[in-house]
Amino acid sequence: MEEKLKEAFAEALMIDKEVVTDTLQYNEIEEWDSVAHMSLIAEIEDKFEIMLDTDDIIDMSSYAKAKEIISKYLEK
Amino acid sequence: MLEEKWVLITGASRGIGRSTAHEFSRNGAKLLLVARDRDELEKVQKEIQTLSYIFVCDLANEEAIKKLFLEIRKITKNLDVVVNNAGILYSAPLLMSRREEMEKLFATNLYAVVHISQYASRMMLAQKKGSIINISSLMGISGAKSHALYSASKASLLGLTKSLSLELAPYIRVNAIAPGIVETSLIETMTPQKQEALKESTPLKRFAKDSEIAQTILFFASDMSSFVTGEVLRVDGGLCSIEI
Repeated sequence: MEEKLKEAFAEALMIDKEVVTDTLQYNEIEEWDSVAHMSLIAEIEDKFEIMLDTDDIIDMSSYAKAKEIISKYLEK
Repeated sequence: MLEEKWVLITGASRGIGRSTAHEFSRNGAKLLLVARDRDELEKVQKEIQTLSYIFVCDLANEEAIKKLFLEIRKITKNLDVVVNNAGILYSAPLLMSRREEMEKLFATNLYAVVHISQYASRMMLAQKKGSIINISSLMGISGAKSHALYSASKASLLGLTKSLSLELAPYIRVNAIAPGIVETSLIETMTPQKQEALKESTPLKRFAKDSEIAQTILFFASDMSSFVTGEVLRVDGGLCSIEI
């Protein structure tokens, strides 16, 4: 799951996969702004074939948090 | 004009939505048709020539919209155009307007459009292009007696349109259409005398046909309007201030 999520981040934000670590935070790099956040959500939903709730989109403020949220969907 | 484009149309079983399905099909679009009435949707599907899918959905229900998009994404990863046409009419004087009716009205006329825009814009942003067209009403601009809440719900779409056009640029264009009086809907509730009076006060001396609204929607959906966003276009035959 983690590899797939890293790929989603790298593709949607157009950054190197090595940059995608637990410390990566929303709005802390210029590539992850509000518009890129929507592309990221689309990429994650596509890759994992899920539809995220609005609350989870709001909460997805870091890569670490994204891992936690996606795990919750995969357990369902 | 819309060859190979995936288009979602809500309220597609009748009136402007049905006409839009026909117009878009003639222009080569692949259609995702949404309404509450399965029988009518199936009729529309039989009438049109291009690939289409139908979805029965109560758009007042947020969970139903989520399920709708899960279904759509099983069919296509691309979504090029959304026509937010579904809406309900509510007519009541201010003092007779009930909270329950207000909530139903805003759930369909505003919140559904917000939720559809949330789900659709993700798909569109992933492909870095798209067009959202919101069907408002002349009443949303000018207001109308005994239609305060309906007018408010349609006016809210104009603010939503303009704000989303800024937020979703440069990839997604968001525009609105404000039809005046259309032949098949509101006029059925009017007396012949009232209809004649309204025609007389309309500079073009008649009501709009559904197909004329559909052609305007086609303009916003296609590349003919590629540099237009945040626009509200009245399609009212010149009738910019009405009393119903």
